[in-house]
Amino acid sequence: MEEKDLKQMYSKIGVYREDSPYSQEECEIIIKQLEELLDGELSEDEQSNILKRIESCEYCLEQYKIEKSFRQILKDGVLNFTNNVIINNIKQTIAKIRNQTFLF
Amino acid sequence: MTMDTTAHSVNSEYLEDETFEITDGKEQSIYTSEEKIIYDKIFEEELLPHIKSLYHFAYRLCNDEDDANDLVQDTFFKAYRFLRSYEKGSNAKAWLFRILKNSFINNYRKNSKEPNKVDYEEAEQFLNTGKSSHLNTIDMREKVYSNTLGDEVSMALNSLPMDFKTVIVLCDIEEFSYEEIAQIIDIPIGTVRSRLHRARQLLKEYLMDYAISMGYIKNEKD
Repeated sequence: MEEKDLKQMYSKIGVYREDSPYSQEECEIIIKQLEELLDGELSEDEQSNILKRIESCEYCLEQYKIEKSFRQILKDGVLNFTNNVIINNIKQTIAKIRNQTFLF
Repeated sequence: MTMDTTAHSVNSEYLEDETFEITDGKEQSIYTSEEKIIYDKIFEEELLPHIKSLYHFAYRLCNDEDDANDLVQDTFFKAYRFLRSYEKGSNAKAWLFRILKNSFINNYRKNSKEPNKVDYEEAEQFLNTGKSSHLNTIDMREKVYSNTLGDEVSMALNSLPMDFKTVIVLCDIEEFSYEEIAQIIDIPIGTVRSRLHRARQLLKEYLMDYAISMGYIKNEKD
């Protein structure tokens, strides 16, 4: 599929696929569970239920991959941003402050 | 990772209170020389390693390097002064994040003449109505900052209401549990869950084209 078609497919309402076998409401519930799965917040039973669903439904698998991709995007975006000069300056200032005598 | 609630409950009233102002009076050290050796060690080993994460969080909250710098310094300064109530080996990172968040809110209250820094009303409106005008009204100053980072992701994060951005950074970047986030920002776990979901929906809308262009999302049937 062309990139522009892919963009078109996802552009209307976030990630909801119009050709999904589930209603948007059902998809919302699944997405919430997928989020909690990736956040490590589901119980073992809940995990195994959602994993079964991912294995048996290509749309759920696709949503799962999208959720995972967005976690990666956020992490990659943030990793690009680390200013060691600033961090070292802060460390030096903190070291000075700690060795001062305080007035009360 | 589990949260040590004891350290938090002991400290929260101090941390939310601006009792750290230096006023005229007699001169004294915070700690005796014996205490200083112990607390300096804890500070170096348990608190200081989190400086990068704290700086990232501060920068995301402030959108300004100098303000983030001040906020991180202030956070460590307060943490150092209250190390007596920190339990060695407990969740230092969550404790520091909570101090930072409280400091940020206190500073915001003091500087409330700068409303574009924290848009709680916008967040409230979104939570109530599910609608946000924010995606269309990104503050230009934030936009300029984001561009200097060359970072589409920063721009997307900055387009979120402050409360949404905060939970995303704490959960997806810093990997705190829902329980820890609830304690860091003083909201119920259910609110953490729903806020994260709304925030992610907004981010997905904002970043979907980017995700596809950059190859994060592919159609594997091709």
